[in-house]
Amino acid sequence: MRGRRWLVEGGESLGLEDYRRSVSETKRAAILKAARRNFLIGGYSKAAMAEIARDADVSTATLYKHFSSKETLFRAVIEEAYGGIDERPIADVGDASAHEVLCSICRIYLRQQFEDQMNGLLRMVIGEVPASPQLAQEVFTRGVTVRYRQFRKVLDALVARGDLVPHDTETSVRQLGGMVKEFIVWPALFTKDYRIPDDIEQTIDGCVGAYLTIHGRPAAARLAK
Amino acid sequence: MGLDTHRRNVSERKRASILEAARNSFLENGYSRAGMAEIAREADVSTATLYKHFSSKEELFSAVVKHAGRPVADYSGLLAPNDTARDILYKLCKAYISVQYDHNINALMRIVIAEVPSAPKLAAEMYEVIGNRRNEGLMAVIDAMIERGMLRPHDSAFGVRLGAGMLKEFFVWPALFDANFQMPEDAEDKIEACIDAYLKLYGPAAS
Repeated sequence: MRGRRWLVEGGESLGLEDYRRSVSETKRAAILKAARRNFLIGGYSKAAMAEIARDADVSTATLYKHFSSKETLFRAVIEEAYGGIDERPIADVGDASAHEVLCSICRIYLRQQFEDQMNGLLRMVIGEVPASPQLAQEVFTRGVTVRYRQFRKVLDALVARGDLVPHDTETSVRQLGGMVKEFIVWPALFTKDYRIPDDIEQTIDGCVGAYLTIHGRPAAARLAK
Repeated sequence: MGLDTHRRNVSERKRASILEAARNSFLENGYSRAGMAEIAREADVSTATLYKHFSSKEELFSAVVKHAGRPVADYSGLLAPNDTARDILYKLCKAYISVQYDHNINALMRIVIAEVPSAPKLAAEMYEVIGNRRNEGLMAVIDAMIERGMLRPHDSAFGVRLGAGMLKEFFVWPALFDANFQMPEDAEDKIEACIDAYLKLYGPAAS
């Protein structure tokens, strides 16, 4: 690495560019955190960029360098809550049984839904539907739909491995999502300070069991393989 | 007509027009921005009359939800004697979906969900009507079908939630994010997929 070396906390030395990048990343993270807090408290329309900057302890210039508008910022908050939006399958199938794989994607789904106050963010977006219809549409297409594609890849892998009968996984991923939502997400949207119930594992097990009954390869065929 | 009956009729008519005005106002303005005075004006009653019927905005809103949800709980009329299991399940699905679309339930849900932080009781009440009570109505039909041997014996409380969850996923969840959400073009396919799933789970064993 060329250039002067900077001594940062802990005595570790970094190249100037690395240092700058790490400062920039720290600031970005602080902005996202402050933004989420502000959106959750006041809703989208009432949240102000100046206040978010103040809250994140950065200048408004820095804020706008990272996020050129409130919409962009909000989108980034949502993407962060969804654990980054990319098209990779959400889990490796490995040698785990179909039941285990499906339980683990349900857990990932619920973790995303409950960490980072996703339910609160969704409520806010839903409340803004009349005022900012595009925002909600974008959350739906960039968050909800992309997530389904990630999960669907896992289902396709299970079809390829022969655990599930070939079927329309675009529909069935939503069937599984709908079952899990019914028990955990719908009540959470309607309930302030909702707590995940203690029998969550049982619920996941029940939904996955149902899914496998619907789309799994019949036991006989599985044995014959 | 006796005086009492006359009074009761007038009072009921007023109540109905208040509910209608309130629903329109909530749908247009959301919960917090809707005003009781304006609702009274729209309903062509005095605010005194409005408050005689509904002592608070919260009470009024909850009455609007209950009113819209009235067709929600009773599905017993759908059990025709010569229907197959598939016919009955189809009618259940259609009835479930039609309430969401024809009685503004999707829009009312959006309002309530947005208000959860400030008016949690409202949301809890709505969930009771359009969630729990509706599921009980569905369960009654499923139990009757089990009794007639049209479905295998199963835990209908759990089964109904699986079924309702799937339907909501296709017909209600997307509508939370889109005020103009229309019934999807492939609605019939989606309904069919849900019914297939339910019959696979609980249908009479194939011989």
